[in-house]
Amino acid sequence: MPAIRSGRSTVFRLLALLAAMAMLFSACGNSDDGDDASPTTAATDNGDEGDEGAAGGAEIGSAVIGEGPHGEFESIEGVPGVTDEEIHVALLSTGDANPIGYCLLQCQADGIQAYFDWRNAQGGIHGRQLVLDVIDDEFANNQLRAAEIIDGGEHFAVIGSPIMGTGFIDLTDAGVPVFASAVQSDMANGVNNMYTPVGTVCITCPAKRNIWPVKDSGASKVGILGFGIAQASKDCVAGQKASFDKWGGPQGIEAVYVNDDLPYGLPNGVGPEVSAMKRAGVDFIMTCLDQNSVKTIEEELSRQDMGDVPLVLPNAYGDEEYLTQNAELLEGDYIGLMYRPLEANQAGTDLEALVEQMSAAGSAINDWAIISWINADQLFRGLLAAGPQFDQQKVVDSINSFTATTSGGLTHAIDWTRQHNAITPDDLVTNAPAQECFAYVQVQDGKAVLMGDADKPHFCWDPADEDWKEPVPTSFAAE
Amino acid sequence: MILAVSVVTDFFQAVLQGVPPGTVYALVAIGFVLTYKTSGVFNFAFGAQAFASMVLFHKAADEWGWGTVPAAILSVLIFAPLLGFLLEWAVFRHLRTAPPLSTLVVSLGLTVAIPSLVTILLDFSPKSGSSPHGVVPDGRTVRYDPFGVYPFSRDELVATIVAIVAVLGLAALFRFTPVGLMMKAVVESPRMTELNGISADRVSAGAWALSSFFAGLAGVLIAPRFTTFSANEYFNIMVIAIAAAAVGKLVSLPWAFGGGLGLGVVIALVSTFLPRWTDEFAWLKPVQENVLPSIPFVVLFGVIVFVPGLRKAIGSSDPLAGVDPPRQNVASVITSAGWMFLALKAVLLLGAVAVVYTQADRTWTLLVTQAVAMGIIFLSITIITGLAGQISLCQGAFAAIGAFAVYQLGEVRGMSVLVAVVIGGAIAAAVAAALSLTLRQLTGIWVAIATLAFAFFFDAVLVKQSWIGGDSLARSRIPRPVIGTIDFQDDSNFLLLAVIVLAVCALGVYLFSRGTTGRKLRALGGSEIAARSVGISPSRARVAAFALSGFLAAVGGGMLVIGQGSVNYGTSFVPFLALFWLIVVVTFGVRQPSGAIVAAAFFILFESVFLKGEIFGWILRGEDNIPSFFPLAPDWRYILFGLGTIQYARHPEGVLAMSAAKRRARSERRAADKVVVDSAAELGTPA
Amino acid sequence: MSAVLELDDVHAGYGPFRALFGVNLSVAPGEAVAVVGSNGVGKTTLARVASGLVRPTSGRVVVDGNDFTRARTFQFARAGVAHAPEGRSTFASLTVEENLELSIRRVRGNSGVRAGLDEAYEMFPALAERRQQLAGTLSGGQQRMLAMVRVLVDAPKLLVADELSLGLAPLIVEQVYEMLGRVRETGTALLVIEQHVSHALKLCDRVVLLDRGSVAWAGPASEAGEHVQSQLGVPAH
Repeated sequence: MPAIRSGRSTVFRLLALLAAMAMLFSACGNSDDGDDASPTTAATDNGDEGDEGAAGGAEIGSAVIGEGPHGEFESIEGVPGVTDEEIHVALLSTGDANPIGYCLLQCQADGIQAYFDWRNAQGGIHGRQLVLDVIDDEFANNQLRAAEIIDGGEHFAVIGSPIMGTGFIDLTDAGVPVFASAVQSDMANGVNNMYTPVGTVCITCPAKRNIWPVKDSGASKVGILGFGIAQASKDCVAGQKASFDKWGGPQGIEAVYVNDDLPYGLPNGVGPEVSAMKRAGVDFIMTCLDQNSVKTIEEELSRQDMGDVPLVLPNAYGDEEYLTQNAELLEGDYIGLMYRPLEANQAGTDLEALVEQMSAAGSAINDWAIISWINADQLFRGLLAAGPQFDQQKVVDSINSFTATTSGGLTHAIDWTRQHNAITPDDLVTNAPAQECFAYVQVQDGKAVLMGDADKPHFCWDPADEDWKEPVPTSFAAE
Repeated sequence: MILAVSVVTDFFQAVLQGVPPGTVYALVAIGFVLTYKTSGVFNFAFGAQAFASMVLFHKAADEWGWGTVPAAILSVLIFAPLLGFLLEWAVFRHLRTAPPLSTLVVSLGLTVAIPSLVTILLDFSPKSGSSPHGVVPDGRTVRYDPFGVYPFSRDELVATIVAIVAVLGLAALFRFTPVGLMMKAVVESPRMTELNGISADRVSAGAWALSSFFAGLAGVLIAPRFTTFSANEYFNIMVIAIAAAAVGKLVSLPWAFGGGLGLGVVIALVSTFLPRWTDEFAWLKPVQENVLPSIPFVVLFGVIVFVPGLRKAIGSSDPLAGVDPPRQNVASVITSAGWMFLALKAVLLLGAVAVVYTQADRTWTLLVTQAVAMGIIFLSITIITGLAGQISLCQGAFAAIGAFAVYQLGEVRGMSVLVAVVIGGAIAAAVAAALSLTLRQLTGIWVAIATLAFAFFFDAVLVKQSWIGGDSLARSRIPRPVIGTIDFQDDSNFLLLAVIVLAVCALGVYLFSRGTTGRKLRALGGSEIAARSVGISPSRARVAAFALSGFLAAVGGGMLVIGQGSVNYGTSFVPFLALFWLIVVVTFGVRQPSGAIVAAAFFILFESVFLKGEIFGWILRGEDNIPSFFPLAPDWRYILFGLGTIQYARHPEGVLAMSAAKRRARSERRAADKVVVDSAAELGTPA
Repeated sequence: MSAVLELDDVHAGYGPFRALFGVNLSVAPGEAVAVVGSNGVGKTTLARVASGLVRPTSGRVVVDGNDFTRARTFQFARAGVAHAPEGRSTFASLTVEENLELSIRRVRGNSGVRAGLDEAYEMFPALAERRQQLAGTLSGGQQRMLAMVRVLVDAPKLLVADELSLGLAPLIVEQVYEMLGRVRETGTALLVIEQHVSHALKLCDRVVLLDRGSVAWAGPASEAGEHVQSQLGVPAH
């Protein structure tokens, strides 16, 4: 519902970032070839893993976790959110007060709930059921809700990506494990109990994945657009530009129009800006904007006979209505994903379970839901690895020992021993995952179509490589 | 040769590109001028009325499955004028003799309340990713290119045509029919109009219906230009429209139209050519980054300050104003608070603080600390509006200056945060003083508008500068101060510190209002002419008041962000919120410090205590006993306070003092009645 | 014939401030009544009650035999009660012509406006010269003239004239009262509120002396002299 509340202005910018961030992944972590799903003591998880502590725990990150039962029940006292029957997890995000109307709270809740339902049906974890409490921060009250969570002591962990996560730092300070998204990367940098789906992201860093769609479409002159009012949007533009500055030359690609100063809401339209791009001969556009603004730009492009110019869309993956309603405008546009697309071969990954669970619940399978599922999975693996006498610190330590977790084949391998810190523009290697991976789909006839190999849908690059090369198609599914 | 031709084509193209957004500004500007001409009210809520019609249109067209045309008829031809009638009958009819500042506050209240009310009543929650559409079928996709240079969509063409027809039609209405004449007469003096046998109420109702109809029309026509269904967009547009309307001195429809179109075209031209010049002259880059977003506000500011005839445009006085009972003598209410009363309030406050300090958990401590910081900010409103009688709509910017100063100096540069707070206060005081000096020739409403322009300028241009707001949004982690051995990392300790700061500030306000400047300001408030005649310089007194008000707001803003640990401009200091602050403070009493403190408490705690129904939990002993219609939507906060401004207009002393005033009035009436009896007895029966 | 205006035990005031206490007054058709008294006795309030600007807190106001106590101001005007208010009595932001038009249109309808205007300009060529000028820029006397002209075109049943001579030069005052005389000849009743007692006494048939909100004395103008003198300390001539 349209809120009259405060700075949509600045907040929206953040939202723009939200979507753009969803695409931004520089983190990806794993060893060499990325196919690391060597099942250790996978199928039957029992107390042995827990007893081994961190060493055994590290394996759980990458293990294929089977049907269960998972873990072992032992009575625990004094751990927030944990009773003999249940483990309570809070989703702290923004609901209807989000004036753009983007689905944040509901979609994130759907993803987590689907995962919990799945695991609960398998017997839960350590003899307990996972319970999700949905908390709406109503946009302005995030810090307050966080304070209530800390005071209440009724939640073990917090998952969620709200518009303004002002309380997340308080939560992590209080020892509560927090699972957010790339939007909260700045906050998560260096914080060892705050997790994001694919490791902490560096927004301003050049990223090899940005070159790929331009090459794929045969374009050579790139325009980059962002909002002036949001630092996040400007950072996004800077990162994009850096990518083309660093690697574009040898590929014959150049950023010819860079505008990180668009006014939020585009009140004056984008006529002059699109005209300028036309004059510069732009044939591909990268955006650090929100979904609705992109629509405005697409309309203006079509108005000025540039309708064929492809864009990289802020993530509307899974938003069927958006894609079908605007099919003409979005034809040929790319969407980048940090996880394995649904259009790829799902066998050997948890994608099958994800689709099954979400379809059964009637939930829309979109970007936020999938990300939230991944977050839930990371938490689950941490619980499993921590053993029956778990607490918040033990879970955090366990996850931090994972060197190659893929959340059941959904993502490339993340190394939490290194990736709480983001890479920096000067050092793209030390905190990078072993392989920096990304997937692309393209909008065709209002539907997402997979780019690349259905069996090896991830495009992976070696962070240590100075130059840009064609990516290696990779799969992180279990063999 | 080719170059020259291409520049000309580009120029023409840019002009055409400026027409669609310019039409939007023109439509709203026309509507605004129309309201002002026909009702004498400076109606900020015009945008909110437009929003209301837009919401109803989309609800009917998208959700109830009505066709576009029936939905348009409902929302524009039926609902919009009805809303106008309602506003006139319930609100503005009773404010005809209220001072213009009161009416302004009421229109601000409506700006806040109407969108919330409409949203709740219509249960409006737009689907994710859907965006507003226009009234004509295929409005976005079908295009026309009359000049072969730049195509216009159907929506845009319709909007432009309607704007042109409206200007011509309204101009004709005013020139050739008695309607315009009657409306102008009512605006000047409703009673004198009545003496001519014309029902002022009927004319006034008709005027509101006409301008509200136009609001509905504008609302529906401009919707497609926005990407979201946001009431905030409609408010932001208002500010730009006022700039356009100001070009016509607020009373000329053609100039408002031209001003709106002109703004759109100028912005498009600048967007087209400035980047090219920047390519050649790199030093223009900061200009480019900052000029564009600031154009409307700079125009507005410039028009207000430099166009000489503008200030007189706000109405001639009504010779029959004396017919209404004189307003309560408010000045006396301030001094009535004796020492004992003050001491009692102080004791209560300390008691409350003690309870919170010892008993409260983190959540409540956080809340109360926020309330205390807001109290300091609200004290700034007490000074500038309560004491100096000016409406300042940029208190949010001043508070933000304090907040950013703490961030830049305290976090980024590692200075002691308390020192940073003081420095922030000084900076804000300087800015406020400079602003006040620029505005010293202006009367009340124009000061309000100019401060609003400044607030938006700050929001659009200054916040994003790296040396002001910069990175603060994502990364800030503001440290708590340490004094000697006391570490204020502990939330309860910091709360105490905040209370001490609040007390010092409240004492300062009290002393200031009793001091020379305070008394000068009160004299000015009573009669400016009389005050001048005894040598009181209004600008000096007002500059002092502005500076103090800026200082207080910044201190409050600084304390707020230290308490929260990070700067959240978007949820704490944006222009719209600052509007709402004013409304809350005037509801509780803008003339005494206690009003500000109570207002802050309500502002922060309202949601937790009332909207969530917790107070019922306390009363009924148990969370489970809270009635099921709680928690109420946060929108209710806006509705209640927004509508509360109507009460303010009738009782500018505010809720707190109102009861005292009522008691006084009652006793005076009793005394007057006694006189009646006595004098009748004296004179014997009248001849 | 019933009185054009009748005030029956009228109490009136402004909020907590009471002004009139039990005033009885009547004006017969075609009669001219003067209301005199020193400053602040409630003369203007009386005028306002008579024309419906102020509603009495108790008592009755009867116009032409009909109870108008609860009537709206414009209803009074439509019933034929015209009021030339104290102080400024024209619309300063409208032109002279617009001021005239406002009154004429209501009385004579759209078609009669032109004729009415012509009539007015004939009566007062000075106004004709200034027809597009803003009324607020006219001199005091010219404004008063404009106010009177409106009334003349109107042909009301009763004209309530409140302090017409206030702030005017003696010569202008003469002219104004001459006009009042003409008004009276057309059959309009007059209720003249005045501090300048002499002119009022010359023009009017009856005099009402107001003191502290009540009628101290009422009677024919011929007898008024001594009462007025003793109350106001001013000679009646």
